[in-house]
Amino acid sequence: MITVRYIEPDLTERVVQVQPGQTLMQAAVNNRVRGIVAECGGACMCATCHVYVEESHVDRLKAVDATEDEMLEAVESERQDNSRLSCQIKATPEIDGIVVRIAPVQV
Amino acid sequence: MAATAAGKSTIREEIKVGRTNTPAFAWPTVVLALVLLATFAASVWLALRGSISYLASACINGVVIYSIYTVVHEAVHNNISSHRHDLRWVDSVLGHMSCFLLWQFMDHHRESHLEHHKHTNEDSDPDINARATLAGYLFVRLPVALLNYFNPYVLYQECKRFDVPRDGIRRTFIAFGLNTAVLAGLLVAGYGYEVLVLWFIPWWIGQSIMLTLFTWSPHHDHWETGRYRNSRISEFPGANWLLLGQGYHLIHHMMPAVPWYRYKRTFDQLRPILRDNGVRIEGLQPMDPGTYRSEPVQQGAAR
Repeated sequence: MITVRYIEPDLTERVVQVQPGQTLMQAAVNNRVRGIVAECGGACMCATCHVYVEESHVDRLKAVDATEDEMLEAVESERQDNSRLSCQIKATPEIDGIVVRIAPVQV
Repeated sequence: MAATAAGKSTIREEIKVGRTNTPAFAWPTVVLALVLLATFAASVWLALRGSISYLASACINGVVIYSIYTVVHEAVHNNISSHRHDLRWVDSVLGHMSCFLLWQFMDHHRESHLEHHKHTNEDSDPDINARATLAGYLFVRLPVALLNYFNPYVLYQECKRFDVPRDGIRRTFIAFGLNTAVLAGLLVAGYGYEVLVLWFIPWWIGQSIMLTLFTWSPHHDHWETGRYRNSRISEFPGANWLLLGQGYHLIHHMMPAVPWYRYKRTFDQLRPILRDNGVRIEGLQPMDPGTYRSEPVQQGAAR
């Protein structure tokens, strides 16, 4: 299992054990982590699972592709260099211990 | 970055319109699921007791099988419970029940379908086998795909390919085992002919029509990518009923949270914006690519 630390919008920290292969969005929804809306269910088409990835983990993730980049332009909270859509981050051993801060406004 | 001729991205506006057309809970899909499941059960029961002919029952069941994929599709996107996250079990229950008739498996199909959304018309699109002429699809690729539904090895390979989580693989094979057990039980009990006529032949025809209208037609010719071009709009009289909204498949790809029965309304509200973005608005038959693309795409060319 991969350990993921979510920081909810009210700064509550939630530690979730995620199955490899599951996305951070799916794991958040399944574990009732607050702040992720995920309107489209993981199709990278709604920009409502926006998270800020802790800087030390950013380079361990697959690069943002064109579709995610396009959708990140439509996020409601400010887009930052470490902004990602959590539906595009799959749990792998490389990101064990990752910390993601959930963007305060999704919709 | 997609943008209109004026150079302005319209994604935020599109999402806003889509959001106004997304209900808190999709009751029409629940009704559709229950009506279709009840119709299938009633049709088989009436045929077995001799009240209707096997042919009539087979026709009814074919329509049910064609239509019930809409329930599976909505369930895969959690579009039945929609904003009601506490009711996700409704998607799961109705999705699994509907999958049973289709010999499909929710967890496998969810990951496969989301992969299709993320890589529509790319070589890695799970539905890319539809990149063919209509005849090639109907008579070669589609039959092969349908036969593979029954191959557990292919199913397992696809689970791995689509990164289905371990629990999902387990549920997929429990469902596969259940389908197989029911089929074997019916055959052992002497209902082989009934299984063939009332389930498998309608399944083959219903699935073929559904996959042609749901997979081949909306994305034809399966070379274009991007938010506004990877699917098309297909408008013709009666389309919305016959296709259960899938004539507006592009709307689904742009905003998967919008339920099938709101695609048309969403499209009507966005029509000017979509036209400005170069969306393909066509009829039943896909236009010849040469009419909307200046340069032909070469097989295997860099995308």
